[in-house]
Amino acid sequence: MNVVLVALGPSAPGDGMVAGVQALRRGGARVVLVSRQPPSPRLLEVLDSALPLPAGGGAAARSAAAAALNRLPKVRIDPDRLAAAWRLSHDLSTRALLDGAQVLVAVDRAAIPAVWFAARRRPQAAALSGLPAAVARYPG
Amino acid sequence: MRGPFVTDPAAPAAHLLYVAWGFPPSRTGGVHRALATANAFAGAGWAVTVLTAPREVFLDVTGADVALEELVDPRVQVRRVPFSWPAQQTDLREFGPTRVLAPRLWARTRARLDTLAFPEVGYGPWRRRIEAAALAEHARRPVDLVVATTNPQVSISPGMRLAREHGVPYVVDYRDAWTLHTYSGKRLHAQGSAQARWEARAFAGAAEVWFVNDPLLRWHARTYPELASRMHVVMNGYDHDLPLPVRDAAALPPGEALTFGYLGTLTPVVPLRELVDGWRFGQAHRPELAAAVAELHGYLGYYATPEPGLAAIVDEAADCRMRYAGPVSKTAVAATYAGFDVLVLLLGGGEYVTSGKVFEYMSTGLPVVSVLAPGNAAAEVLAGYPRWHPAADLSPAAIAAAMAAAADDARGPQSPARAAQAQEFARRFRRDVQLAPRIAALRALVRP
Repeated sequence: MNVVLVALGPSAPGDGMVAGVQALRRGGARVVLVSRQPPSPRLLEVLDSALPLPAGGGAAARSAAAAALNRLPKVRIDPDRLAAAWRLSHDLSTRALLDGAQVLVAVDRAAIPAVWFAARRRPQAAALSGLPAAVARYPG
Repeated sequence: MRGPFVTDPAAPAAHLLYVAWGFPPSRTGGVHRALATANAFAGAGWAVTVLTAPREVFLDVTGADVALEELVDPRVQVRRVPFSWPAQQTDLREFGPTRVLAPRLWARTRARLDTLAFPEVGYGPWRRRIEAAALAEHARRPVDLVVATTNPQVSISPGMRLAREHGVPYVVDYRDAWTLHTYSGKRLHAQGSAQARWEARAFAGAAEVWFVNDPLLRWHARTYPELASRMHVVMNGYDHDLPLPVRDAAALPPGEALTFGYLGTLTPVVPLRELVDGWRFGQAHRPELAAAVAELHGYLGYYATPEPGLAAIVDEAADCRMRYAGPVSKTAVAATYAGFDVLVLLLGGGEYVTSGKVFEYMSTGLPVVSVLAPGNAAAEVLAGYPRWHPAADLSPAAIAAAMAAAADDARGPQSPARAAQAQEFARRFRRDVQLAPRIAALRALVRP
């Protein structure tokens, strides 16, 4: 079973995830992390591999588009999250990773749009919010 | 869930309906109080039926300790009442586009829907289901008494419904406050608000209202003076299977490191940052702490997913011999305490906040360093504990000084004798000792 963890928040994925990753691996899963920030050394040790979120451009265009949308009352769209979702699904390296995954996990809230969009194109994969949810569903 | 519940129509057992959203395998705040209360009533000869949330809520969302289920008295019957918690849904395929793309808008709409039936976000919709379950239970076997433990506050509604329709007395176990913000000491919901009106109605109809400490009782007695005689303190206390074997730090060779331990949920309101700074300061400036190690055990935040801010703090502290060791099962609590020489009690602010942890800590007889926000109610409880080493304030120097004093206490030649003395002091806070008078009084109420 291939599990892809996606962390797109401003904090680096840290030691708090170690036990969860170990539990998934005990259950036979191959666990890969895609993150905006590099993971902590201890976490890196227990992962099968870790990839950075592919770099992207067009920040000005994203901000302008989001600003236009956010003129609607009570809508607050985060341009960075949507851009990250786009990059995750369209970069060749991460797209191949997602295609081969049976479980996609949004480790933090910032990753929810990216995983949600990825899951819509991959109906075979489970899509979960939070590492503990993955551990609960696929215990080691 | 547990063994069969034996009902004998000829038996005089009074029937308690106990409403507690968080019940094993939940690991949420108050679960030990709920477990102890149900077991204490069952132990006193009551037929106990518990209304609680489904196991999956705890397994998938809040984090669970399945070992706790083994501690439920086999005579207690547990009824799981369906509970949906969209805000904590973990299956992203259940998310709609609005929730993904405009989460704040979705949350606002969801909150409005939640509070249609009962003014409590997240839990309000449970009202209809638990009231229906309570009525069904009463039809199956008449209920003599309802005890509802909060929070969530919606737990009060079945008792009020059975009282209104069938004259069943009820008790509100106000484990947490609702209209009072326990950390700030200010009103959280204004008088006249929906929450305040529900609270007033619940209190007015209750046979008893329980609080976890005197300051909470006093505040509510001031708010509802005409009901003060029905208000009682039932402290959280500690389980009867403690006190625990503790290791004798006085017997450690001088070079061997002391272990300072914290066991409990670390939430954003506890002074964790201050603890880390104080620990770092102590390692640099206090020879008593130079070789010591610290271990933090417990969840990071209220939910199973670690709270990122707290996770970042514990990650940073790894370089000063402070290790985050993750959650501990209830069945492993004794072994965890047995590895500590000094306990560190971290609590957020508030004259009204005690936490159950303080009692468990005292039951070990170990030196306790308290790192408390000013005016915390736990200080009142700890005041007589002979091995209490309070940090005078939250500065690094004050925390380090308290830790150094506790280290001296742990290594002192009188340590075993002081441990026995401290355990003796703590025995008044056992849960069964706290609950016994109330159970006796309620027995007299329903079986005069």
